[in-house]
Amino acid sequence: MNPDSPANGKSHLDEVTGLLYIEGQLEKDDAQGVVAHLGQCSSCRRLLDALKRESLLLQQALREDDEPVPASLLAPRASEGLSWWWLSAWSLAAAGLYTLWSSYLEPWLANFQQSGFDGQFFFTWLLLNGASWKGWDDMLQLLILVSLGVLAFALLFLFRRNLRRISSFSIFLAALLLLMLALPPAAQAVELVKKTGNYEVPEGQTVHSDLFVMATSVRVVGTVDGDLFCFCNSVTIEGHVTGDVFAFAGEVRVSGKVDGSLRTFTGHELIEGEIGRNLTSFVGNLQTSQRSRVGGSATLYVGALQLDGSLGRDLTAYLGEATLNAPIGGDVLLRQSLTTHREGWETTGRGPVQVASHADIKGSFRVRGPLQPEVSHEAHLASAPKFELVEEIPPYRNPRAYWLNAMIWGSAFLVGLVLISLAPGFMQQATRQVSRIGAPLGFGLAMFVLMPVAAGLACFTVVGLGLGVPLLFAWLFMIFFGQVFAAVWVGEAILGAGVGAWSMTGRLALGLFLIRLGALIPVLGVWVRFLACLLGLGALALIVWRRFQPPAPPAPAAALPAAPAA
Amino acid sequence: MGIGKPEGMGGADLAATVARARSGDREAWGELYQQFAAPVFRFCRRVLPTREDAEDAAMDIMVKLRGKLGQYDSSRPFSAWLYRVAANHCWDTLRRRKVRQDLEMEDVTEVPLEHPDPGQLDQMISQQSGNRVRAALERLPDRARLALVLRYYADMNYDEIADALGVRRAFVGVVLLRARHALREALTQGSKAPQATAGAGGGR
Repeated sequence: MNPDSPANGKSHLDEVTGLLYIEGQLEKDDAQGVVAHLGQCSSCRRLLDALKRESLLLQQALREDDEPVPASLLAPRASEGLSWWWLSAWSLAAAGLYTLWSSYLEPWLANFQQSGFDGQFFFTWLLLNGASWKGWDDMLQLLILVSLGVLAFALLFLFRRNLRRISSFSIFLAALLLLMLALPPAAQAVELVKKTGNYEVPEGQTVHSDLFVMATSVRVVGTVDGDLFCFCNSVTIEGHVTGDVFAFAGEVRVSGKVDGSLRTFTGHELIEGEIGRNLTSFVGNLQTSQRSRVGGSATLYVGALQLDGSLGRDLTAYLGEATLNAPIGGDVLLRQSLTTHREGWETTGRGPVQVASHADIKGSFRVRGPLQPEVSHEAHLASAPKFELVEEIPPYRNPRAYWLNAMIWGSAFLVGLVLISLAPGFMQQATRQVSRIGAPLGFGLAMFVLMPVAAGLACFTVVGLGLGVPLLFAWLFMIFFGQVFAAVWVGEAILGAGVGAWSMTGRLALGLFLIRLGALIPVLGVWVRFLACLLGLGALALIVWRRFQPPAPPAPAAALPAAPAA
Repeated sequence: MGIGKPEGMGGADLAATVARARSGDREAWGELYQQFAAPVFRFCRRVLPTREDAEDAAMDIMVKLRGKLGQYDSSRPFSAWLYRVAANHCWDTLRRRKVRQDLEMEDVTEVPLEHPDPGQLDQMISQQSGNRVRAALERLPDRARLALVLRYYADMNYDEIADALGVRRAFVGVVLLRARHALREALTQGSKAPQATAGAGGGR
């Protein structure tokens, strides 16, 4: 207390003493001195009154509800009516699923089945988790995906404040788009063509740039002096492409010349011309004619392969069935689909891999799969064929499936750890959403179906690849790591809710372990993975949805118990 | 917001709910969350510069609270402990951004001994509204604003404020008074040049 204070009988109260007095912070003797002074000094009484009024003003101003509490923070009770949203999400999902099935999956599936793949293969491929066919390459891809994912999450966390504002988000998206467009060599000119009918480069005409075409069909009779990118029903190259060809098409036919590589994702592919470098195809049926020539190597994911034209270097293929009837300059490594036509072979006596009379393989010849290759006596092989028998076994008896599941467990756990340490609030929110089950499942299914459709549409509309491709990657990423949120929920359901980051980490580890264990169960395993993915995907969707919801109206005096008066 | 009487759980109910939450009862934690998430958000909104900051901080604080429930001393009021955790979190957030920290560390011990003109002070107070006070608060140095929020929003006592701000208890009154002076100055400037300061209200 100030020695000059009126409590000691001198002059006016200083302001600190006045404040301490009205807040009840003075010692008893000092307070009595102030009381005595106030009895004689009107100026100090007025000062204390003013200070009290100032305190009141501050309390009122600070405690007034001048803005609503964000809806994302006010976790609604589980019983609160989201039923309309559930209903909409489920209906949307069902409609989307039907569209996806009737327009895309069924025709593709029929095509694949015709070509030696069965439905299970297609779905396991779709879910990226088919333990029966994954090899080291897939592992590496998985690790790359994990690293990219962790990086993306870290970036999202760092810039989350900016991302939250729509305008900044738009700028971010636009920048991303520009970056994507800037990725191809800037010096190279690009011609973009987007139309609904047929597009043709006529004979005698030369396009002096890279060419992006989205049309019903594309036909090149003239010359493309650069790379050719096609998204269409059918691609026919009768002329000359000096660069590479990338084709996403129902049907691809090359009777002309491609100086670079041919990379396709297609149903049917026929090569009658010349490919200067390599051939990479994900294709239902692939046929090369006798007069065709591929200068480099061929890497194929193919249902049925008929190779009659020469191949300069190696042939590496994952396939349903194949007939090799041509000179091959390098090694041949074939992996048969594990569910390949055993019954067909038993009835017709025809094996899935035939090496016919015109075959001339300069390097080694190795086949892995359930059935022996048939080699014609007239075929020329530089070395004896090596066959490794790999039979289809249920995942729980397959050591590689355990290894793969351990890898997935590790990568998902890593992502979960990053999330727990960087954004514990987000993790808790996501787990809370997963625990509602119905809503996240509905939203998850809607996202699972609609995101790739949206990505596909984006690719063919004004927005283009810049948005479509990242959206597709985001979809794959979310599908894979959705299980992290589901895992924490599973862990909490078993061990009960814990407190703190370590307990959440423990629950994540246990939940992930159980999900991966469940994934090893034959038939049911696919559903375990699928449900875990849907729950996580739905939880993410719900969080995003809540972010963009208008804030709730101000809560009616959500009062707080006061601390005892000082 | 009325702070005097709790609308949700009463003292005994609250203590029981806290005890259940500490033993891992999810439902009990849910009840605590429902009751305290909004007040914690408002606390953060008063202390931190933007709504987004407050939202993030409130979310993180609720997670922290859940993690620290085991450390809560049940002989003390729950709300005081809760605001203590919130204050520490907000103060750390502000400190990480190093917003004008150097200026704020000076003169804590310098005691203002004036006896201001009561009439002038009275007149100035009578001209203010809640909105103007909140706008002026946003322009205060972080420590001054936090001190006022701890005292007049969270109703913390001087010991708790001293603890949260890291000053000796004897100086809490000085810190509060200096914060009031800064507020008066901001209010006076605001009423003198409303156009000039209107744009500066949100940005610190």
